[in-house]
Amino acid sequence: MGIHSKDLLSIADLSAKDIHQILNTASAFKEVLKRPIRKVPTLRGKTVINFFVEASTRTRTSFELAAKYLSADVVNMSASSSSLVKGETLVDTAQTLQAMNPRVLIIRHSSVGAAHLMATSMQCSVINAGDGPREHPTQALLDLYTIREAKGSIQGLHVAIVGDVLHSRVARSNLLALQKMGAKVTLVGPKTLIPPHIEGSGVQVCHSLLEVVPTADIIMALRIQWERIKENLLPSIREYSENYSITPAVLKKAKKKALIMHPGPINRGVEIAPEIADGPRSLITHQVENGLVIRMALLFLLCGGRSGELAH
Amino acid sequence: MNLRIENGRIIDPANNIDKTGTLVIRNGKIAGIEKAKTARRAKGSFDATGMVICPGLVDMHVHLRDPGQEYKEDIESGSLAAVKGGFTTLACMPNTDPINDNPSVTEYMIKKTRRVGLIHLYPIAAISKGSQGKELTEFGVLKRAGAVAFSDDGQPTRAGLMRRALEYASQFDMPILDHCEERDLSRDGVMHEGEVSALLGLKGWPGEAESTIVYRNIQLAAMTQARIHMCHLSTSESVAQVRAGKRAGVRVTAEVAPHHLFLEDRALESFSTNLKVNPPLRSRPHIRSLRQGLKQDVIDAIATDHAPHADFEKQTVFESAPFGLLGLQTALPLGLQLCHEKVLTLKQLISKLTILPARILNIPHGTLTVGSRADVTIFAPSRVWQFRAEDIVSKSHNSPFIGREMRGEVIRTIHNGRVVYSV
Repeated sequence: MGIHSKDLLSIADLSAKDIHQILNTASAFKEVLKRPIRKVPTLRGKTVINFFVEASTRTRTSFELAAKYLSADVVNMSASSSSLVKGETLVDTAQTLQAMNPRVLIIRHSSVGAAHLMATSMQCSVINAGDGPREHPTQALLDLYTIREAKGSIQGLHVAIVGDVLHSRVARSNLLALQKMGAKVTLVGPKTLIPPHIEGSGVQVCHSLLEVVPTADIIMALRIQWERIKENLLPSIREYSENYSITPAVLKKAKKKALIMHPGPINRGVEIAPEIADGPRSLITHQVENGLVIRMALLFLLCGGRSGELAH
Repeated sequence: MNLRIENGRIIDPANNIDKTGTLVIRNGKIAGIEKAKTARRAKGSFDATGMVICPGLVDMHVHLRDPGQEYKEDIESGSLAAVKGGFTTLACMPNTDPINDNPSVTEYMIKKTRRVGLIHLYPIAAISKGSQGKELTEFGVLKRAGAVAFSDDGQPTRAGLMRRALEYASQFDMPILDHCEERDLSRDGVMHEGEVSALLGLKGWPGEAESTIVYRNIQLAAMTQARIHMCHLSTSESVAQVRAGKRAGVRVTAEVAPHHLFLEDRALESFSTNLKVNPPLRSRPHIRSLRQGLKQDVIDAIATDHAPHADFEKQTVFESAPFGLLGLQTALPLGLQLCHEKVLTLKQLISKLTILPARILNIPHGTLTVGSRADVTIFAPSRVWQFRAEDIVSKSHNSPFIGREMRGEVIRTIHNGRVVYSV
């Protein structure tokens, strides 16, 4: 599979070349967004369905705006506004939505593989906007874009992903994407929140933040998903913060040019100190901005667009 | 009704027979083996040249869903799948609705099977009432009704209850069959805990959740001097524990399911819910150990854990799909694949599909001994065919082997001297 395939379900389906193409197309859209009229007609007359079965602010808004800037007709659906609350199965929902003949379906769902199930049940393109703890490929792409923009290149960087990796689709997509682009990835967190055997994917695992920070070029904090933390995975938030929060004291040990990322939403003072999140080394708002152009690029490429079309 | 199955390779591991000859059936019983000669082509004779003639296969672990879930499978469709797969004797698990924890359910199963008239069925009754893990069922009454073993299959049996069940069953000389799962370790787990689950973000069911119970069960069987049988082993450590238990003289037996010998956890990257099974598909090192255990006879029997589920139940996200897959129609060809791969000899394979499970359940099947009931399977060991969805005669279609090229095909299945399946 490549970007010319029907769907985007996993980073694993993309080659490094595909990823470069997406990032370069996103750069072209960044120019488009500086024009006085920010719309391009690429998806005019085409329907994009934003199907968010799980709560989301930034991803849903970002996809909606991206589709609108490409002139698509956008329909937003949430779990509570769909027939899923009436007991309709996901496969039946897929068939119903397919009958409306959309060009693209964007789905977020709390179950692993939900986007795959939709993709096999529908003829339209399906974009995975998060399937449970498994993947969130557009987040990883926007993170790559943000890192490339800030550092010039991804190759050879050391990226520390810190926190609740166990429940994090952001971490899973990023560890695949970053390694594909030549970065070294270290997962940092308490042993109970790092999936056992994850080293098989090529990453390093370390349980001491202070050991990893001095060599990291990027420190990516993850949200502690306290609502999913049960069965003694963590004794308390206080104990987590004492060991793994990105604070000014921690940052003192870091490289001078080390940068901070967080996919949001942030638990201020838990996984990251507010002054760090809002500070000069934080890329957090860039991540949100870049999410829009990445999603425009993806919709554009999945619908058969070619990078040259944007050059005028 | 007399039958002559001529010039086939007759393999009867129970009697240490492996020779070319003609099997003679008279009045529904095995009458004897005659030397090979030119086929007579007379009425009631079948030319089995190039084919294997063996005892009708015995599957000691199936779910027939009858009574209660007949939309998935019933005794008739399950019987059809059995004979098409070469099986003439099944032992069915008690997780029906109602649970088989009382003689009326046991008797219903047996009567309905007789009415269908294709196979012999031996119900396995529940260890505890409602398989709730609290009170023992009436083992003696259930034995009289026709039950041959006890299991709360799928529901873990806690240590205290297991001890009492073993003690109580041993006075009837009946085995306890255990699913071996420490649910406190495997809770919510849907696949093998390993590299693949780490990346897929699916909750892991670690191998240790099985092997800790295998160890516990062996200890309890030694303590009570009772017979314990481990269902569908799936890990290296479980095989090691059973090996150690057998060496120590404990009365322990074990089975393995074909899917655990052929499919690995990496296949779940497809999210195909037909690969969702309990215990889960494991990684390659475990598969190697299971094959080794089978070869060395640490694992006695091959049993399918045939578990039909309707299409609409399986057509959902992986986490929500029920556990289980079909096994009856694919077990023999997959077993023959083990012979082609030199894991097992043909005689060894047949023993694991006939006399060994029959001995564990203490039932008079799985041999071609003169005078025994004429249950016979005839198969072409090297015939290549493709397993297609249309070939499935179960009510459900949840097989991960659809589309697979198979070597070895059942040609005829004979039950009580009557041909019940012909290709």
